[in-house]
Amino acid sequence: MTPFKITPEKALNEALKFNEKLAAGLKTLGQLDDVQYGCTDKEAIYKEDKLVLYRFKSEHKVTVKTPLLISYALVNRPYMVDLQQDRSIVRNLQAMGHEVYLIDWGYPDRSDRYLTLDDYINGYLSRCVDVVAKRHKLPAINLLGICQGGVFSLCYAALNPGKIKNLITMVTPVDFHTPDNMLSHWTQSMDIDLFVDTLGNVPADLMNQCYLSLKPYRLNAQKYVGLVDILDNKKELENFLRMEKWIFDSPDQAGEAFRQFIKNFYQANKFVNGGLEIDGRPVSLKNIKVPVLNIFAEQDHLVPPSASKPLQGLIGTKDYTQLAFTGGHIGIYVSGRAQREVPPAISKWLKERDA
Amino acid sequence: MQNEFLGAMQSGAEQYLKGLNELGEKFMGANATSAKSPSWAEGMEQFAKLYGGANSNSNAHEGVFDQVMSQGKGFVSMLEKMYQSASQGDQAGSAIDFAALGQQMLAELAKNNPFSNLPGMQIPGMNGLGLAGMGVPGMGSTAGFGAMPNFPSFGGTGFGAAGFNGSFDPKTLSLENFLNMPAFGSNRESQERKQALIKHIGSYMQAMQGYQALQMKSIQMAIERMQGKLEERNEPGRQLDSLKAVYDLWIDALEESFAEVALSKEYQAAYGQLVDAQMRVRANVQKQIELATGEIGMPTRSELEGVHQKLAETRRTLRAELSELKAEIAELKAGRAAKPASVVPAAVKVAPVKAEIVKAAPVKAAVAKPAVAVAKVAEQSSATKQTGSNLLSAAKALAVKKATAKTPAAKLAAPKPTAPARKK
Repeated sequence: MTPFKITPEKALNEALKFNEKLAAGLKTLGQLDDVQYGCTDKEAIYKEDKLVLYRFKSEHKVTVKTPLLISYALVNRPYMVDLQQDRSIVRNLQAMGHEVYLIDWGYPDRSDRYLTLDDYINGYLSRCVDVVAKRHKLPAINLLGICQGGVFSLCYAALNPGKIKNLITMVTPVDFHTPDNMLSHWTQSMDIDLFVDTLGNVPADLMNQCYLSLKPYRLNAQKYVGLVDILDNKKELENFLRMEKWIFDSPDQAGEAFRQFIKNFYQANKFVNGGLEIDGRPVSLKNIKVPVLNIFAEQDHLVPPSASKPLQGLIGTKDYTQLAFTGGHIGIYVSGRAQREVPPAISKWLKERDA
Repeated sequence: MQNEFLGAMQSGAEQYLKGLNELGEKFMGANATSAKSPSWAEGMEQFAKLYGGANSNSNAHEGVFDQVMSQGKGFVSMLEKMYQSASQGDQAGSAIDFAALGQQMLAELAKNNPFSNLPGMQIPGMNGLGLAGMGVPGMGSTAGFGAMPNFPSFGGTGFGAAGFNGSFDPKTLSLENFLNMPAFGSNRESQERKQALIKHIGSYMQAMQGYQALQMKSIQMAIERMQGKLEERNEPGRQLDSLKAVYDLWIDALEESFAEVALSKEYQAAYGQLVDAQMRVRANVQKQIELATGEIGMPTRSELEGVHQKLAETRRTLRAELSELKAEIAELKAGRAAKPASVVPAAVKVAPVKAEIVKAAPVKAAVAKPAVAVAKVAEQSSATKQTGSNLLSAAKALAVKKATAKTPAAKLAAPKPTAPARKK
């Protein structure tokens, strides 16, 4: 017995089909326009420096009293939550009666190199929360933090009890020192001071290359070989290109904030080990006493579930809910399964706590 | 014109497919491994050229197609090798020798330095170091680091302008001697910097070698892992029935082996050394560029960063002051709203306060002025909120704040909050 059931004829046919697909793809690619992203109409309600706070206009009646503010990561663009008509967490939440706001951090340039975590958390994020709360004449709002934005949200909620009614964290790392966290593993021996002092802002391309090198063969080779299978399908190809656009349309990272983030979280793991301070103010997750919904992705290679799950043991609330999503770090926003599972779970959880 | 191009491409594509069919027919004969047979990837090469020619500057998705072509060629090349291997067997599909194939691929990977081609394996930013601009041969790209120039070349090309022109006899001086040689005279600082740069480059190359050795180790491990995976499929129902399935299994083996290596302490150390070494090279190069451009009166990055740092600090201070000011205004407004006697439910209880307010009555007129100013501040605050970082507005607001603070009546009417919420 051999492991192969491949005849030479079959192998040749496979190669020919591969090339036929490529030929068809040539035609399809020539017909494509630039891909569009972001499908829900929105208005800017607050601007500061490069930050824009958006309110999504809804075609649906708002039935949930407390608005939801989404705080995305700095390392990617936030339109991932509203990528296209059939892949939009925002649209789905709107359909369930939620008023949704989104922070767009913008693209930092060299003049932003000295922005710190304090500027982001106690500055930008704090003022966005205030703006939304004031618009709705409420003392506290719902906050959804995604990935690094989830880390910011945890810090903010811990520092500002009373400003957040319900907190949702999505693919958010909390324990940065779990054995399967490759990204964290790589940062442990790096001299971050030398790194930031040399680079200033950390280039987006460098960040992307680093992410791609976590799974170098799958993300740099297999993905594009697999693409040939859908090269003759215009719709699928547009979806692929939209994702490709999002992956590589990344902002540079403000140098000082990056330095603090890597040192405090990736290297010193201060959520777990303690000693975290933002501009001299101690941050303890025990101060978070509001309801918390923690959503993570089971196949997440950037933020492994083991990094997210410890939140339960670190926060001060007894109202903690955990949602494990079957998928990866990206699929949790855009996959068909995500659209069916994630927004309804968020909506249900929030509605139960909207009194 | 575009139609002609598309027509040419279509025609080219058809020819290619026809050629590939003919190629297939040739392979189906006894001459499948003939040295004269063109490789399968060559057809794709032609394909890529056609596509590139027709779409230069006109198709936003060219990059994606290039990526597909690049990886597709690798894939097709692998298919071809597997096909050839299978064709040589006594029975169809029975004889793909993956061990030999894997070793062959490993040899090719090693020869072509895959980690300078795989985007994820590069340490980005290296190409932007400006090393080419320093005149160091072969230093313009990451790949170029593999070809460290011989010592003599430094005299003529790299640092000619700085006083190294032919000053050393390469027959008697080693690179190590040169790097450790104390510097003298007016060029000593410059020489020391250049010595440091060369040392850093040497360290970087060493670090890169260590890093690449681990990558190659992971590939070697993948070959062994692949053998194991194939053995698992030596039973009916688990056999691989397509070359794509073999490719996918190979990728699995590569990724699993890479993950094993990448999560090791050894890799962590190598990664840190590589990044640090690269940063030292880069920092040194940046320093040299700063010195050179500074000498001809160009503003430098350090100067700009100094300005940015001051700007960030000023912005923080102004925001904090503005926030404090807003809190005081709110207190003032609250105080005014609470002033009418009718809303005071128990006059007796607040008598001492009342007395203080009465006491302050003579300066009531003075209070009016800041009150107007306060209204202006409110407008300014609103404008600031609308436009974001409006430093001018903030500065005006601060000026008003100072004027308000100097008025005793204002202090009286609006005591500072006991614990104002800290805001940025």
